[in-house]
Amino acid sequence: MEKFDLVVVGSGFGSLFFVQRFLEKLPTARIAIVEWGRLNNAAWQLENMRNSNIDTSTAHKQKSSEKPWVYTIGVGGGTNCWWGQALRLLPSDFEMRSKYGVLQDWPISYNDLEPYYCDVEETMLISGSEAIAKICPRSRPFPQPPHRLSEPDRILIEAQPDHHFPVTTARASIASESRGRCCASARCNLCPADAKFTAFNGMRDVMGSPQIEWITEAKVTQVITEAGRARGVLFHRNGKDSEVFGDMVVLGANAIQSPAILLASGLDTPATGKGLCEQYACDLEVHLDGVQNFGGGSVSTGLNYLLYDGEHRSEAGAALVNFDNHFRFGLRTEQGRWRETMPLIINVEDAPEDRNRVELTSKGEAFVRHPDVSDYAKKGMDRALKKIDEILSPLPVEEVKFRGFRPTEAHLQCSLRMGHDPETSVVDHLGRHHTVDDLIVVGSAVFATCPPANPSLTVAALARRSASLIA
Amino acid sequence: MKVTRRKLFAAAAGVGVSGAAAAGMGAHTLMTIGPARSYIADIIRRRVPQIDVSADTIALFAQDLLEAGDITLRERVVSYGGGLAASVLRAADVQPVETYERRIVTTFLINSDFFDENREPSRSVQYFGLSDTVCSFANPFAQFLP
Repeated sequence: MEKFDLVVVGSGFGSLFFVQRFLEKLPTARIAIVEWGRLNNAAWQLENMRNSNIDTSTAHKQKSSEKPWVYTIGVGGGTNCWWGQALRLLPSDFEMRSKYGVLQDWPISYNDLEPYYCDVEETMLISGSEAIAKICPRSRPFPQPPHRLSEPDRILIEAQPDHHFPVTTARASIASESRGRCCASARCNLCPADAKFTAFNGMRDVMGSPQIEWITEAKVTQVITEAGRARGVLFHRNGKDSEVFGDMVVLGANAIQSPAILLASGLDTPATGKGLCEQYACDLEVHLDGVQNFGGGSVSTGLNYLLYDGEHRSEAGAALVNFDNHFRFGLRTEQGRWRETMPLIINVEDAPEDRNRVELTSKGEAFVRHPDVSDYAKKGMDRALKKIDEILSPLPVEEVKFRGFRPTEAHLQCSLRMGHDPETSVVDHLGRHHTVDDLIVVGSAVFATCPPANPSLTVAALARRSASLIA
Repeated sequence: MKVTRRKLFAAAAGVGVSGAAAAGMGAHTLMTIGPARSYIADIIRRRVPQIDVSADTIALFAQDLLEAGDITLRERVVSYGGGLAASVLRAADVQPVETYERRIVTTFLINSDFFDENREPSRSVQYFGLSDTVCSFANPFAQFLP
């Protein structure tokens, strides 16, 4: 049996950006990618109106009374289903303990990650405005210009130039050789214009590489270790168990399946599986008086950071407000006032807590235990709802309607956190497992905290950084 | 043979199968176009009474929604056809019903010539059809970079 240089579990953002950089540094490396799902290309997804043939509600067990967790199992992983929000974290997000005395510091800083953010933004052709460098310093320009703004966004940018910015997104604002331009159809998980970055349209070098052997429809059940080193993985395929071996194993399933694989492998260090969380979020609808919404060029066009960073984070989670440019709640029905409505999403930082975790069932399947979000997140949400009027003050607001808490953001994270202490973290700053050599974890599972920004861009940047410094 | 939702409903309409599941029991049902047409017409007449739209046009729209696999529509039509007044539904479930009804109106309007600046105001609204279920909720007001 062939022994590979690299055995990779899963094929989402973390895995593929790691592999891409690994092959740039070691072009003759042989890589096996073991993927639970199968290859469902964009045409299949559009025809079948779904991203995967596997129902993820059956992929792990949990109490039916607890919140749902959503992810895509298939070649390309989350690059298929995501909506293309491509936000960087803020510098403060990496130093919560040092700056605000809560949560944990990441073992890397924003500056450590910044060049890699630039790299992956170029791969994904991110659209954005340089103005956002006021809060996320940048060393390179965005590859694509920002989308056309909606009228509310224009008003808010003028009134709050340090807090309100055009959205940064992997939904292309201009067409390129590989991608169409965003059509603002608000069906981004099934992008009809192929405008959103996916593994299929944006990583053709990886997807078609002769150096890679794809083992699809193969569910990895364990990491094989020998004398404290990872040596391969055990997987179940076509009704039988098989093994694949390599010099290094990269674990990039997701924040539920990756810890389950480690637990099933007996790699149950104290923090393994603990801290599973995602942003706590709600929907609002704002009725406007005389301002027309929906004129922007993408499904969302504005981000407001007024409630994100500051001393309040010592007690309450940061909040990021997304300004939508689509009819989440429909048009208004009063004559002539059709477009005087504005949907918002408030995303609030959660705190990883041990009680929210991934365990195993007696059959060795992933079991998610998540009684509730943290009080830190609830305080952050309370604060955001009380202060939303501050953000909206430049607009002629008629009414703000609370439209409910969102069941999930599909941003599962923090279950294999990075850090220095093996008692409170699972991997180091490069994703290297604390107790097993040659085992790297990629993906949002390694996030040390759960800021309100969407995680995918950071997942990609972290993976590229790991491969750059390990290969 | 692959049985799609569209074929299933076409077959159901063809043999006159009607819905019988009770609301709130979580059961889906097959139905003729009749109850759906009445329900959609009620929404459009009540939500946007100022718009001139024919019954035939509403019937086409209702059929398209059913064929597009609007599960919520099927569930709500069962309630509506089963004798529960829309006002009772609204009282029990205000925001979801309001949102749902506004989205129905929005889907109709943006897939018609209603927002066409060249439309003759005295003429009834012309419905174009849900040509593509992926794009049926596209934003006609969006403006793009040149």
